Amino acid sequence: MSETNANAIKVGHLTKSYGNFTLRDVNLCLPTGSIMGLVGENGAGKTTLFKLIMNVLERDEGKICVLGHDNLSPEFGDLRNDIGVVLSGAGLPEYLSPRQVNGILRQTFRGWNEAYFRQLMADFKLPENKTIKEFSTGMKMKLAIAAALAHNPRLLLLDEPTSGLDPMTREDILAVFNDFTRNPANSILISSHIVSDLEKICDYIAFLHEGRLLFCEEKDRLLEDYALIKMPAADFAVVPPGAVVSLRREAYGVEALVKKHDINPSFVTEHTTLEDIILFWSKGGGAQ
Amino acid sequence: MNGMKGLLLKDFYFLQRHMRVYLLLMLVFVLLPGAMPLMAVIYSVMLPITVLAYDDNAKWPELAAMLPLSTRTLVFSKYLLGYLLSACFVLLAVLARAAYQVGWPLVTGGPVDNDFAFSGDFVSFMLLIWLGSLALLALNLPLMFRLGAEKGRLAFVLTLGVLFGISIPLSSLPIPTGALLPGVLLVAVALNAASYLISVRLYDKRLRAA
Amino acid sequence: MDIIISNAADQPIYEQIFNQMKQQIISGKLSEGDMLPSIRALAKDLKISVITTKRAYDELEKEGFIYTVAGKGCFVAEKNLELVREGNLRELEELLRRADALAAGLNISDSELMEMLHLLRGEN
Repeated sequence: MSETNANAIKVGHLTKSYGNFTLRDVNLCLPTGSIMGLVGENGAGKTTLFKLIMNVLERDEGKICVLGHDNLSPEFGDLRNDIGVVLSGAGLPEYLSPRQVNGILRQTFRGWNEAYFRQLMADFKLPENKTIKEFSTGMKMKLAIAAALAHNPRLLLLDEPTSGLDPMTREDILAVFNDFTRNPANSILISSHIVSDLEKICDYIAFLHEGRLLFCEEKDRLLEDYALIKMPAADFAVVPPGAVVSLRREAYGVEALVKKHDINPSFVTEHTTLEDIILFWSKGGGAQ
Repeated sequence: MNGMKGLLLKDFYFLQRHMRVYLLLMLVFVLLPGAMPLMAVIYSVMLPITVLAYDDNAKWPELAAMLPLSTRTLVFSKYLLGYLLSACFVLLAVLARAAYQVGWPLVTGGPVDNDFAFSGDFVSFMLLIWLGSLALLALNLPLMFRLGAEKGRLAFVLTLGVLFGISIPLSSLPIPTGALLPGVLLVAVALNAASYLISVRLYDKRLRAA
Repeated sequence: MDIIISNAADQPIYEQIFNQMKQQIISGKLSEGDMLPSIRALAKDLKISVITTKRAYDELEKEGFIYTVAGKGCFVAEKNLELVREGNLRELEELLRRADALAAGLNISDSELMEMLHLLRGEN
């Protein structure tokens, strides 16, 4: 329970079901100082996981430690001062202006840094006196990010911060997150369905699919451990079935995602991208 | 209750942006003769509900739940806003009467019209209305927290009707308003205490189950 | 120091960093005692993962091109020609191992393999 904890987030055997959705037995660790990307299609359980981590949603089972404290403990209320949150669907009321947001959050967060907030407004080119209603989607997201950063948190929870934004704005925003983790005490959990955004900045990738965590791995290891293999259907029989994660039968051949170390190095393989891995994994249903 | 000031500030910014005409109209009511000021006081307890409806739409409660704000603070801020606003209008109404009482003879030289006159009766009448509207607030906030904005507003109109229904036969009884005050005060306090406790539960339940 | 990361290259990113830094050390562009950027700073400046960068540094250290002073940072080590040779030998070994694995897959005997090598060397 020390302040300098090895893990910013540690989730163990987390289960939550409601309606016909179940988040089942999720285990993951976000080491302090790193960025973890949470990938998954809409409805995979990403937002649910965020809510459970912040303990705004009742869990069925499991344990969650955030910044070294169990999030069911009474200290967690105060610990929220060290966490910055951006939610894609929910946000600051639109009748407010950035100046008013500053006035309100100054009263809300213990470590609110007004100078830093105004600096961010200037960096993001956000007019301080216009209401949020008049902002574009990108501007709204930038304001939400500034509001999540200006109290100098140690952990950022970002739920789809880049969705619906143009490539330039996404680039700006990713640069901010990248800079945030220059401090080795700072960590980020970021979800997105734009895999290429995550591939750029993440140290770890966690993949949620239909309420299950299919993997949580170092990004580099993923890219190294898996390869694409393309061959005529007739030849495919020689590929050991145990090495195949999933395959796609096309008109003129077979395309498969394989574990590189489980096949003979004489096979011609192709370099994969994170996107390939995610696509094949979700189609293969995680067949080991 | 860390963050209460921030929450009230937020609500104040809302009123300033969206409720200007409404507030101005209520200010006019406060200055009018007879029983008109009571309208302002009753309507003022509807304002927390309006803010609530607006913020619900923006899913502000989902974000607020993740900020260092306790459920109790979030819930109580709505009660407090109602208390403060209605108290302001009561105070304004009383001050307006006092101003008429002093100013009218100075300007016109004539006596103050009965409908504008400042009297002990007027003050206790306004206090009675104030406590009545606080009871109205207490009845409605839990419904808002449970049902959400749309249905909650309908419930407000219904309870308002019921309350009027009760008050009409009451007002025809030959009891001086001053004598009613202690009883109504007790009812208003009890209702608000119970209402707050229920609201905290409902608020948590609605959010945490979503 | 220049480091150009290509996302299109087949080479893993840590290897790209490793090779480019090694090249600059061997060529003398980075000289003995030069302080290298911290792992985190380099990762953030290149906009890549910290783990990737750490791996490149670890490899460089393992091969003796750089050394770490706890609490201070990473520095370029004394250029050791023996070491460079050793590094190249290791690379050769690795390539031979891959050739061997390929040969095994094609049912090529040792003598056939040797013959191929002789032929190749003769061509050169």
